[in-house]
Order: sequence, then structure tokens, then C-alpha cells
Amino acid sequence: MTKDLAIRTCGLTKQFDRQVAVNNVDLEIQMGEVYGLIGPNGAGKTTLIQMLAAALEPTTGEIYINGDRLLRGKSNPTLKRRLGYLPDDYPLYEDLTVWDYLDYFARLYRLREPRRTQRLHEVLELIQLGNKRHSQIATLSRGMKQRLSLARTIIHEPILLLLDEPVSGLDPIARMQFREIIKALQGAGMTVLISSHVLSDLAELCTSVGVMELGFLVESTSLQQLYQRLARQQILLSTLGNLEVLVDEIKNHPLVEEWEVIPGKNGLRVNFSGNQEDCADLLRSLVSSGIPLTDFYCTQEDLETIFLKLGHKQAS
Amino acid sequence: MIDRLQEWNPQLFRELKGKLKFLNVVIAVTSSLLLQLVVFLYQLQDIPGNTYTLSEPYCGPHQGHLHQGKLTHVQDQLDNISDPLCPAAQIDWQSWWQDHWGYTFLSLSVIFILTLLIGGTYLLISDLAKEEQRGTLNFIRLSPQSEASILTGKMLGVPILIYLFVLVAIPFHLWAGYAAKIEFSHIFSYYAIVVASCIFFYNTALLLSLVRTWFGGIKPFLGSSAIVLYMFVTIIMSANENSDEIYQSTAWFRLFSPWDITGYLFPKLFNDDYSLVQTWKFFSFPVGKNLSTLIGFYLLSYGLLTSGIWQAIKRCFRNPNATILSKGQSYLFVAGSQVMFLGLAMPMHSGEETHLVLFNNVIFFGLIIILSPHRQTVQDWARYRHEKTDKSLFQDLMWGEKSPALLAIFMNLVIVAIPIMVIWTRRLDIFNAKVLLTVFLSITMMMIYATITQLVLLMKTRKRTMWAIGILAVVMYLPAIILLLLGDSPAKNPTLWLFSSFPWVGIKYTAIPTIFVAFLVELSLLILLNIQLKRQVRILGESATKALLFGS
Repeated sequence: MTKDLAIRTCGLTKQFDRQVAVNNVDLEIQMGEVYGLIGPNGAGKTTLIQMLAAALEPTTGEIYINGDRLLRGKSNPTLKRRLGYLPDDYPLYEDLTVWDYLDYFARLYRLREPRRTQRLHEVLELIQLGNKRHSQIATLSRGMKQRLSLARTIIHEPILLLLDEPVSGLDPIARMQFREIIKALQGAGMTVLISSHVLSDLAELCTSVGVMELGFLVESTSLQQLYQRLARQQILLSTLGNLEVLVDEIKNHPLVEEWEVIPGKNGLRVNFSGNQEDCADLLRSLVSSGIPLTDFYCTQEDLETIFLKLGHKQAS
Repeated sequence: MIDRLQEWNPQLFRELKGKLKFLNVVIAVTSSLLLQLVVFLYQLQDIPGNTYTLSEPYCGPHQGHLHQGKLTHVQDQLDNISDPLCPAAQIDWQSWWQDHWGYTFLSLSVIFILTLLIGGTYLLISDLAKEEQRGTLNFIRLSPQSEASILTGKMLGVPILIYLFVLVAIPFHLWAGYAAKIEFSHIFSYYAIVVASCIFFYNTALLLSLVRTWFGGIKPFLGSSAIVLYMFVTIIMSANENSDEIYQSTAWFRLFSPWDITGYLFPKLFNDDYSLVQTWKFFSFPVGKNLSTLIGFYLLSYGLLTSGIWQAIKRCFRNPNATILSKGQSYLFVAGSQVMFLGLAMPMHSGEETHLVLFNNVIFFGLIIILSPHRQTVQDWARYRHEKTDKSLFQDLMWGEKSPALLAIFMNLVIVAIPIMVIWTRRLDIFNAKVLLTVFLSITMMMIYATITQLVLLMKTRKRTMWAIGILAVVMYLPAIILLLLGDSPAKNPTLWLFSSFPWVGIKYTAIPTIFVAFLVELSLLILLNIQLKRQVRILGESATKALLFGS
């Protein structure tokens, strides 16, 4: 079991003075997952990631990466080769060119020729900076620098990526490019732990999520289970006919939990507890009742709504 | 070759790539060549010309030589203003050139030492400070490279332009030495010493840079100022070695500065054919007897201390919040330093024990700052000790990584006190209550200082290291300075001196009962301070829940 876990922590705690930044966290992440860590500012996400990356010493508790214990104070060369860590401020050497920077880190991670040059080309293609490889880092845009930092993080082909707020401050196009890269990395079999405030990104990328609050990991589950448990299905309906008739049909349906009229539109928003087949049955019954439907759209509550429903306040 | 270098040490390659830009190389090479030219031309201005008189040093065979000194030379010129001119055929050109090549050689030797040690340490400290500030050092730390590989790369790569500057001047330096008929064994011994001292000072610089809690942005300035001061003080001491007594007991302090040995290798440096280095003994073994024993002793001393510093660097590189030395390492360091002091100072002249105690005082000043853990560390220790260790409290205080260092400092004081007591007993041929009380008083005072420092380091302020250093300096040295300024010599008012950090100076003039009472007063103060410390540590270690529920 432990061997299948990319990350396992036992009672992981970090205390800064009187404040417990991370409190007795037991985290388990399966190999190959993309795990999203969400929580308000100051919840302890960055501290947790720093400890997992061996950049910060835990006050107490244990960390296992692929079943091997991470010991701080030791150099842990084998474990370090498995880890890729991207902090939220991604510092760079502005005096180097893109190629020299990546080449330097490839050497630090002991990549040998001819694999090194090949890997550099692969990574530059992945982050779409091949045409900038001879440019000074100082001349790159913020989004490019962010992608270059990600390239540095994956240059040694780690099996576990720790990304702390990787898309903060990026424009929508840069964010989309970043998402595509992460998907590609997941496809290559990497386990990714990613913290972000942009929950729509996480909903698209993640297979599991964890919610942190006041240093505690208050929720850790697969995204599928979370939706099953907490996301309500909604159906948006519009009609050309009388809305009253539609309301009468809807309120008598046993799987309809509640409904509301959408203002300014001759339609309803319905919270529906059934599955896809039940939706199809409802549509069929409405059509057979002669209601002139113009819209019948099934949707699900998004991650942000679920997060707020959990009682947390998330800045998006 | 370059590729093998890159594979061997990527850090070195990165430094070379960043520093060896065309313009930088041109500036380094040109300035080195210019310097050689200036040094050479400076000597040429002394060349005997048409106005060279008979009484001047190089007129006539075998008159010259440096030991006559330039001042005498000028004086002679003034005195013999009506001196007849020296016939051109009478000028001893061979001696003139030999002596002036000697001057050139010595000038370059001094410039090499100053440039390498001061410039190199400055560059290293500022480079690492920049990396730490930017956050890039953490990435290097997180790579699987060993600390040896990364830091060797830094040491070889960061000062590369200074190395280039010196290397370009080496052929001229060697030529000047050859022309001045200086033995090659001496020249290469000098190079060996310069390399060893560079390794030692660069390691010290790296250690200073890696300690995160110290001084922040002014580190490069402070580090190189300290080295400038050390080089200045030691060159003054080496140039004025007229007191054999002071010489012996300060030998360890000067051992790590290359001036003494350079003065021995090239006697003309300080215009003194006799260097006191030759009289050096290490526990009666005459290390200064010949060149090889002396160079061997220097290299061994540099090597031992550098390897000690290297252990501290490894600790601080992996964990910048760790204390520089572990408690176990501190015992070794203090014992080693005592062997070094005593080995070089024995047999002691009368009064030299005072120097020894003074040096130890300074060592303990540093040790208290280095060993005492900070607030967060003590808090972690107090809060989670029961979960993390199965060691007894005594073992934890003696060896533990995060425990308060008072017991460790006490053990170090005992290590220092034993040889001092033996020396005093042998010298005075007595082992009386006064000797014993002196040692007890000194230890108690030091423990008081250590407790105060630990209390200061538990403060919430971010600048607690600065506060700790400041307060420790004040409590340790201010009372003695005030007493001296007020003209209260130990003979005049010995009791007050018993409460300073130099209680032994008042012992001679004080009766045993008074000393005993002073000891009891100090002991009571120490106990009170420790009760306070224990209370603070207990409060720090309480869980947040307990603090919340019971409002402590």
C-alpha cells in the first residue's frame, strides 16, 4: 500500500512561534494523481509544500516519498532526484540565457550527454520556449519566466512535482498554456501536487483535492467522490409556453429537490437529485406533456460552489 | 577538458560562465599587467643616475643591500650634500638589480595576499548573500549535488577574476624572485601558504554567509572589514616583533595570518633577518627549526582548522537555522584550541597566563553566541522533546541538537579550566583555595553571561541575534571598561573586579572570605536567572490548547 503512495505524511506539524502553520497533517497521495491543494491564504499550503520539498524542516512528523523516509539534515540525493519543486516566487538567474539556465540545472541533477541535450530540447518544446533559448532570462515576460521555472522543475524528470501557486499572476492565455503542460506531465506519469486559488483550473486538472484550513487538512478525497457527495445536479429549463404549466410538471416530479424561476427569462433552475437516465426520463415526460421546451441543460455545481458550501471562504 | 570540468562540477562551470565575460577578462588581465608595470617602474625610479654620490649604498662593490634601509639612505644623502659623485664604473649594478628585484618580488607577494584574501572573501560572501536573498540558493540546496561539490565550485569560481589577476602576475613574480636570488623552495613554500590561507579564509567566508540569522545585508562589508582588520593587526605585530613574551602567547592568533611565515621566508619583508617564528616550539617540539617543519606545521594547522570549519559549513548549508557547531563539535573545538594555545605558549613566561585567560574569554564570547539556540528552536525542543527523543534530559542537554546550551557551555568551561588550574598550580607551586575560587568565580560569571544570552535569544524580536551580541558584550566587558576608566585598578578596589568578567585580577588583593561571599552572590544570581529561564522555556513549550484553556 505504502509503495503505491507518492506522498505519505504522518502527524506532520510545523510551528512558527505560537502559530501552528501545519497541524498534525496525515496526507496520502496516490501515484499518478494530480492533487489540488486548496484553502484560504494562511491556511498552511505553502508551508506544507515546502516541507514536502525538503525546503523546510518539520517541527515534528514524518514524510515518505515513494515509501522512503525524507530525512532533513541529510543530503537525500536519491529522493531529491525524484522531486521537482516550484515555489510561488520562482527566482531565476537573470544573467543567464534560457539554455544555459536549464543546462546548469540539468548538470546539477546529473543528467549526462547525450540525454541532457535531448532532454533540454524536449523541455523547451513542452514549454514552448524553443525560439527563446538564446535569450537572456531578464528579457522574458512573466508568463515565459513562469514556464521556464516549470521547465527547471521538470528537467530531471522527477516523478513527483510540487507546484505552489503556479498560475498566480498569469493572464488567461498563459494559464491555459500552463494547464496544457500539466496535463502533458500527468500523461507522462508524474504525480503532481498543485496549490492554487484558481479553482476552475484545479477542477479541470485534478483527480483529487485536499482542503486546508488553519493548518489542518480538513478534506482529502478524489474529485469524483467530492462531486458525488457534495455537488448537486442542476437543470436549466426554458419554455415558449406558460411557465406555470412547466412549474406544475416540475414540482410533482419526485427527484426534483427545489426550483426557482430565472428572472428575466421564461425558465427555471431546478436542483435535481437523479442521474443522467433520470434527466432523460424527465425530458421525455415534459415533451410528452406537450410543453414547448426551448432549453434543457444539465449542469453540476462547480468546485468553487462546493468549496463555499463546505463553509470555507475562498478568494478566487 | 571543458566538458569534463562541467561534468565534474556544474557549479564551477556556472560561475565561470557568469564571470568570464570578455570584458571582465580583459579588465582583469590589463589591470594585472598594469600593476606589474607600476611596481617595476616604481623600483626603476631609484636607479642610480648622474647625481649618484660616492656615499650612496650601491657605489663601490658590496655596499648595497636592503638592510641598510631607505631612511638611512635618505639621511646619508642629506648629511653628505657635498659628496663627490660616484663614477659610473663604480656602481654595483648587480647588487642594485638583485635588491630591487627583491623589492618587486616582495611588493607582489604582499599584493597577492591582500588581493586574494580580502577581495576573495568579499566576493564569496556577497555572492552567497545575493543567492540567499534572491532565493536561488534553496534550489541549489534541493539538488542532489553534495555540499562539497557546490561549495568547491563557489570557492573556485566566484573569485575567478581575482585568480586570473594573480595568475597573470605569477610569471613576473617568479622571475623577480629568481633575479633576486631567492630560493625556489622559499617561493613555492610561500605559494603553498597562500593557497592554504585562501582555503581557510574562503571557508570562513562561506560559513559566515551561510548562517542565516547573522547580520543580513551588511555581511559582505562586515566580513571583509574583519579580515582587513585581522590582516592589519597581524602585519603590525609581525613587523614589530620585539617582545618575545607577547610573541609566544599570541602565536596562535597570528598563526592563521600569512605575514609571519612570509616574513620568515623572505626576511627582507620586514627588514629583519631574524624571525621569531624560528623559535616556535609546540610542546617543546621545535617546529621552527627548519623550513620543512615550519611549513608542515602551518599547513597542518590550516588544514585542521579548515576541516573543522568545513564540518560547520556542512551543517549550515543543509540547515541554515542550525547552530554553527553541534554541542559535541564544540567540545572538540574548545579542547583543540586549548592544545593550540598551550602548545605554542609553553613554556610560559610569567604573566602569560593572563593572555591565555583573555583569549579564552573571547573564545567563550563567541561560543555563547554560536551555541545558544534561538527562540523557535527552544520552543520546538520544549514542546515536542517527549515525542522525538528517548534520551535522558542530561544527555539531551549535553549532546542534543536543539536543547539549550548551558550545560554544554559549562562542560566547555571545565575543559578550559583544567589546564589553567594545572598551570597555575605548577607555576605558583600551590593549590590553594584562592586558585580554586578564582576558577569557580570565572565559571559562574561565564554561566551568568550564557544564561542572560539565552534569555535574550528567547525574546520575540526578529533582531535577537544583534541584541544578544550587544547585551553580552555590554555585560561581559562594560563593567571592566568602566572600572578602568574610573581609575579603579584591581589593587585599589579588588572586590568590584570580582564581579567583572576578569575576576582573577582582583583575587590577589582580596581575602578568601570576601571572595567566597562574592562567589555565593554570583551563584545566587545564576540560580535565579536559571529559574527564570526554566520558567520561560516551560511556557514556550506549552501547547497552544493549554495556553488557551488556562490562559498562561
